[in-house]
Amino acid sequence: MKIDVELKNVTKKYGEIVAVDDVSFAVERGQFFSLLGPSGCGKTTTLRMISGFETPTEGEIFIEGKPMTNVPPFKRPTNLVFQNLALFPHMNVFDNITFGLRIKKVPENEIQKRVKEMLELVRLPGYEKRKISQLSGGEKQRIAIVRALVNRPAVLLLDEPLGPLDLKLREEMIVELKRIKREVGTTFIYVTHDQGEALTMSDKIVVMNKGKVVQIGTPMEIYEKPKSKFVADFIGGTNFFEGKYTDGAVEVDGLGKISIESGAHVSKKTLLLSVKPEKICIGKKLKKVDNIFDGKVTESFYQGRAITYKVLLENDSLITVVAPSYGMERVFGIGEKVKVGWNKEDARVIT
Amino acid sequence: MNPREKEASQSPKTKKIELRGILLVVPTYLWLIVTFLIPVISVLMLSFAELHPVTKNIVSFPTMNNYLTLFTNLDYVVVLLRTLLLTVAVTISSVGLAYAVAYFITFKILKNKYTILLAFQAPYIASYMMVLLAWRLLLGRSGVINSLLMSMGLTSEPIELLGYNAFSVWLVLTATWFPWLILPIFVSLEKIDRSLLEASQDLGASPFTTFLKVTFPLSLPGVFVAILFVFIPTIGEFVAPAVVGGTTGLMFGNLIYDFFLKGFRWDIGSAFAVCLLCIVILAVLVLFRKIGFEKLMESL
Repeated sequence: MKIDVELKNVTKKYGEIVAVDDVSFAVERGQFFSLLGPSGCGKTTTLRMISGFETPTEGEIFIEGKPMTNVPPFKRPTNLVFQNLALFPHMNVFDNITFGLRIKKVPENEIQKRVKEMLELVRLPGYEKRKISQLSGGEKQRIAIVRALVNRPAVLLLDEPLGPLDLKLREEMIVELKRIKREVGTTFIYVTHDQGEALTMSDKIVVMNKGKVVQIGTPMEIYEKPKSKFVADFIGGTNFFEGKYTDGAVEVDGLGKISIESGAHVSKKTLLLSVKPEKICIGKKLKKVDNIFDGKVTESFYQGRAITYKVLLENDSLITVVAPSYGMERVFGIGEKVKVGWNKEDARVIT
Repeated sequence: MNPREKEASQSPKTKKIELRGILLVVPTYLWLIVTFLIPVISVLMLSFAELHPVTKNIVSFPTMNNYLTLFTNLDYVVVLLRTLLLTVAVTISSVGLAYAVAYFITFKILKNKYTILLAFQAPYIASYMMVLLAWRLLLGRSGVINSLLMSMGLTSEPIELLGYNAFSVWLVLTATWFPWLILPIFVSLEKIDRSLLEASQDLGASPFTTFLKVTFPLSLPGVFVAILFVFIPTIGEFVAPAVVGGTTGLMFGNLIYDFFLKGFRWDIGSAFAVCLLCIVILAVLVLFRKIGFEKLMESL
C-alpha cells in the first residue's frame, strides 16, 4: 500500500504548552482516516500542521513522500474543508468553486467540466449562480467540500465540518460524505470529537488525548478492543471492574468472580475489565450467560431504539446497561431488583 | 407578508410601538429641516437671483447670470478644476496611507492593537488651526524645512515645492485626514474572518493574490466610507488653502467664502456653492453605482 501522509515524531509547542506530543502515524492512499479525541487533544493542531498553517516544533511531515516543513500552505497538495466552511461571501457558488482552479490557470473548458461534474457529485446541479447567503446549512457544507475536492488534492482534510449541523442533517451528511469518498477515491483525513461520526465513516481511526496518540486501529478494533482506560471510556462509554486474577476469573471485592477468557494477561495480578453497556443483558431471570449478578435499577431512560439503565450492584458500583427495545417486555422501574449479566468474551481486559 | 406578520402589524401593541418610533424620529427630522434643508433651499433660490450690490434688493429673478459669471471667467474655472484635482489627489493619498496603516495594525500587530489605533488619533487633540499654523511655520520659502536644508548646505536655494502652493495644500490635507480614515478601514479589515484568508491560501493563492482576491474586496465597505469621509469635506475646504495655499493653492471654497464674507455678493457665492453641491452629489452617486453599495453591504 502507498503511504500518502506520514507524520514522524511530530511535536508542537506553544511556549510551555505542548499541544501535540510526539505524534506518528501513516495514512494509506485512499483511506478514510479519522483523528478522534476530546476538545483540546491536539487533533485540529495536527490537521493544521498537515495543511501547513502551523509548523511543527519538532518532527517531520511527509505528503506523497516529500517533506513538507518548508512548504507554505498554498503550495501543498492538500485542501482543507474548514470547520466554519469559510466560503467567500463576496463570490457566488461558481466563483467559490473555481477559486483554486483559476489560480492554477486550469483551461476554461476544463473548469466548466469539473464544476459541472462536482455539482452533480454532491447533487446540486444548476447552483452555479447562487449566492452563498442563499444556501442552506447542508448546501453550504457540500459546496465547501466541492471547493476543496475540485482541485483534485492528494489528500482532503476535513476539520469537524459537520459540527454546526443539526442531528438529522448530520446523519444525512455522514452518508453523503461516505458516498463522495467512495466515488472520488481521494484520501480523506477527518478530524472529529464525535465517536459516532468517526466509527461510521472511517477505515482507520487515530484516538488522541492530551496531545498524544493513544490508539490506532480500525473502528471495530478501537471499539471492541480498547487498549487503554481512556479509549474504552471515550468511545461509547463503558463499565469498569477491577480485581485480582485467579483461575480464569477476576475476583472483584464485594461482587464475586467474573470469569474471563484465558489469554496472555494471566501473569498480572490486578486486572481492569471493561464491559460495554450494550453487551450487558438485563432481566428478572437470565439464562445461558457466563456472569450473572444481582442489582437494583436506580434510573431508567427510554430512548426509543434502546433503554438505558443505571444499575447499582452489590459492591455499591453503579453500572450502565443499554438494552435494545426490540423484544422487550417492559421498562424496569426505579428501585426494581434485576439481574444483569454478560458473556466472558465481552469482558475486555485493559491492564 | 404572511398572514401571521399581517396580524402582528395590525395588533394595537405594534401600532403603539410604530407611533413611538415616529416620535423618536421626528425631532431629528425637524432639526435637519431647520438647519439643513432651509439654508440649502435659500442658497438655491439666491443662486438664481440678482441682488443690487448696495441695497441687496432682488433686481431680477430667475436669472442664470450668476452661473454665467462662473463659467465665463477662466480664473474661476481654473480654481474649480484645481479643486477637483486636489480633492481627488488628497482622497487617493489619504485613503491609501490610511489603508496601509489599518492593514498593518490589523494583521501585523498582535498586542495592544487598539491602543496603537487610538494613538494615531492623537493629532486631533490639537486644534485644526494650531496644526495648520504649525505647518505654515514648517513650509514656505523661508520656512523651517527650507532654512534647515539650506543651513545644512543640502540645497543652496529654497525648494519651491515646499512654498505656499497647491502641493502644500495637498500635503497638509493628506496629513490631516489620513489618521481619521484608518478607523473605518480598520473596522472592515478586522471584521474579515481569518479562516477566509486561510481558505484562500489553502486553495493555492499566494499572500499577495489572497490580498487582491479576498482581503481587499471584503474591505471595500470601509474604503468606501473612508472615501466619503475625505472627499466631501475636502472639496469644500477653505481653511488649509487660506493658511498654506498662497496664491496658487486657492480652492473653490475660498471663492465662495470671499463672495459671501468679503465681496458681499451672496447671489454669486450661492451659485458657486450650488455647483459644488452638485459635484458632490454626482460624485457620491457615481461611487454608489460603481461599487454597488447596497449589494456590497448586503453580501457581508
